[in-house]
Parts: sequence; structure tokens; C-alpha cells
Amino acid sequence: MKRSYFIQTFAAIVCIGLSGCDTTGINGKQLAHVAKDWSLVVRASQIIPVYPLTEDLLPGDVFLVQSPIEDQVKNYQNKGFLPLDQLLVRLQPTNYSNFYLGAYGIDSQTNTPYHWKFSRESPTTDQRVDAPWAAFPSYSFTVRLGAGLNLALPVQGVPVALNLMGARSAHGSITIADAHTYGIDVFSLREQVEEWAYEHSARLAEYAPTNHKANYLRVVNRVFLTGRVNVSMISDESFGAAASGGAGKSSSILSFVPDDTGTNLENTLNSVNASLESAALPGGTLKLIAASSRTVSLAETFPKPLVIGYLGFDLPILADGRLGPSVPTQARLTKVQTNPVRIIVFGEDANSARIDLWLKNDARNRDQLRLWLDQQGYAAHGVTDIIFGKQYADLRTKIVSHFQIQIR
Amino acid sequence: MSYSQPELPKPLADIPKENVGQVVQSFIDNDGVRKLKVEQQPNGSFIITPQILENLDCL
Repeated sequence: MKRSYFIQTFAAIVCIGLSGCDTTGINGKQLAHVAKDWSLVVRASQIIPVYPLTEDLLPGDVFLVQSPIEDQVKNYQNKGFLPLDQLLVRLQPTNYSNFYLGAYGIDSQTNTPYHWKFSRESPTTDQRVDAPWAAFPSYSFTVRLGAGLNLALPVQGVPVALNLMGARSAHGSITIADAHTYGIDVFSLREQVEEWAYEHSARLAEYAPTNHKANYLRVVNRVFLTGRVNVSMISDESFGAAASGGAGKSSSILSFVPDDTGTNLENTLNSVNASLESAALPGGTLKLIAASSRTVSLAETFPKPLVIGYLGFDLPILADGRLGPSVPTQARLTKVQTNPVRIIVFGEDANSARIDLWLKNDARNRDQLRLWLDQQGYAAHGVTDIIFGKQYADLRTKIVSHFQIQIR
Repeated sequence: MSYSQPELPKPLADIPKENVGQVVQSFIDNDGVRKLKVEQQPNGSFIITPQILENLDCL
């Protein structure tokens, strides 16, 4: 008896423990699904998703990316987005006026792009923002109540619509509306980044490559924002043979809509919208656009436009804190080789002649120099480019110092 | 001694006429370039583009 009691107690404890773990696991998976599925929607538009959606990402933001490209590609494919966790600096691009020729209200403002983020008061987001427009296609999805979401979105319209229809599963489409984009040209921004990097090369040198793993600066040069998300859903259950169909859901507040006249429809929508307001999260407001017993369309409006994705470029941090050539982030992630052949500009100085002569004096010096350059992160840089290239003047000084090349 | 064989060196542009020979020799001696292209730029200076590396000429 005593043993039986012990077994029951033990079994109960194990069950509680297992269920706790299981719940955590499911929640974790669902949360991960939300991030990934949303990111896949945004990725389909050839921009790099931001998750969670944020207002606080701007062109000129410089992030430190420490994981090697292989890990990043893996992360990107697994999670669907790239975490941006280490913001090193926010540079303020100075070329907006030239880039947009003073349009979009830039000439009358001094704080571009901030005046686009906090524009005039208006009931709809699209009229509040003067920034250039963007448009996204609609994306279709299926969704199921509870676990096993086929697609999860960080917009509350989906679960609310699902509940309004009283459906367990549905399919529908989502439209990223009131979308805007603004950015700056890579050249002008890169000049600013290089200027900043030159001033902070000692700090950046801390992130010099080690064991063939390079660190990168990720520079955001364009962001995409949305002010509204439209969700349209159709209940799958109304199509099934076993579905209750029609106006069978007496508990649904929408079930009587098809039988009402236009006035009643309007009253009903108002009534539903009133109930939606209480369901809305602080992040946005929901508005019912159309509804029937089988379909529901909702518009979720954000109080301020939120960044959903960005474009940027990566700059490798070299051994001495200098920056290497830029590569579009998207190209790195998709493993597309888009880096054009770079041209080194001739810029001889006194050290060029010293190093050139030192190399000619003894063939072993070439091996020594090559080995040292490899160790310093310049494996892909030609010796001649380094000896005569304008951009390598600082490196030549280091070479002369390191090998104690005599000044003649 | 182990060190990596670099990729083809990048083209060197805006080379004054008097430095062309020096740069060509350096590409050959220091980078193992077997073939290179020397072109005059519109501004009168030269651009030298390495074509083949010593250990890649069999490709």
C-alpha cells in the first residue's frame, strides 16, 4: 500500500514535470515560429527582416556582427532574420538633401529622417508620413488555432480574426500597407563610416580577425516601414463537408450579419469594432473592414510607422582596425558573389621605395612579408597593391616598423 | 614556410608613366603574376591589371 502510494506520487511528479517541460517547449517553438514566419514574409520581398518590429532603426546605424558568415547564413535560414544586438554607433547621414534633391520636405527640415517619423497629426498613418512610398505584395497563409501554427504573425489581427469567426483553422492573406522607405547612397554613407572608423581604429582593432574568423560592421543604409497591416481570412471549416456551415455559429457575433440589412450591418460593424478596441494591444488599433460568417477582414494600424526590414552592407574589420571592401548584406546571406573587381589607386610614398628595395635585396623577405600579411588579415591582398596603393599608406608604415627596414 | 597564395592582385590604377616599369616588375617578382595588361587611362596615367598567377597558368 505504501509502495503503491509512492508510485502514484512519483508518477504524478513526473507527469507535472514533463507537462511543464512540454509546455515550455511548445511555447518556445511557437514563439520561434512567429519570428521565423513573419520574417519569411518580409524576406520574400528581398529585404532583410527586422524582428521584433521596431521604430528605432535608421540608415546610418552601425552594428557589430561577430559570427562568421557560415553561422550567419545558418541563423538566417533557421531563424529567418538576423539579430541586430550590438549597435556600435548611429551615424547621421549628411547627404539626404542631395540624395532626394530636397524633396519630401527635406529642404524645410533640419532633422531628416526624424521629421518623417514624427510627422503631422492625422487619423491614418499614410497621411502622417512624408517619406517615399513603398508597396508590398499580398501574402497568403493558413493558420490553425492553438499549437501547430502553419504561419504566425506578430500582428494581432490574425488571432482576433480567427476568434471572430470561431474557426479552428483558416486561410487568408496579409497585406503590408501604408509602407514607406527611405535610405541613403552607399558611397556617401561609407565615407562617413570610414571617417568614423579611422577615428576609432584602436577600438575596432579589438575586433581584429582571429583564427580565420572575421568580424564585420553591418551598416544599415535603407529601411522599410509599415503603418498598417490588412488581414483577410476565410474559415476553412465552412468548406468542409462536415462543417456546420452558414450561420451555424450562434455564439459568433458575426453570425447574424448576412441576414441583416445595410443599417444593421453598419451597426454590427460598429459594435464589433467597439469590442475590438478592447482587444487591441498598446502597439496598434484594429478595425473591422468587412465580415460575414465565413470571412473577416481586419486592418491593424500602428500609431507610428514601424521598421519591418532593411538593406545594408558589411565591412570586414581588418587587423589594424581598418575596414575592408563593402559587400551587400543580402549578397553575403544568399552567397552571391557580387563584389566587383576593386581597383587600387596608385599612391606611392617614401615607404614604398624602402619596402620595394628591401624585397629586392633578399628573396626571403618576400616570404616573410607574405606570411606576416597573412597573419595580419591581409591574405587576399597583393604585395604590389600594398607597396604602391594609396589606401595602404598606414600599413606600409607598420611594415617598415615591424621589419625594421632601414631608411636610406 | 606556409602562407596563403593570394588571389590575383587587384588592378593598380592612376600609375604615372615613370612608375609603370617598377610596378610591372613588382607584380612579377612579389606576386607571382605571369601575365598582366597595361593600359593607358584617359587622363594619361596607366592601369595595370594582373591576368594570370604563376600557379594558376595551368588552368
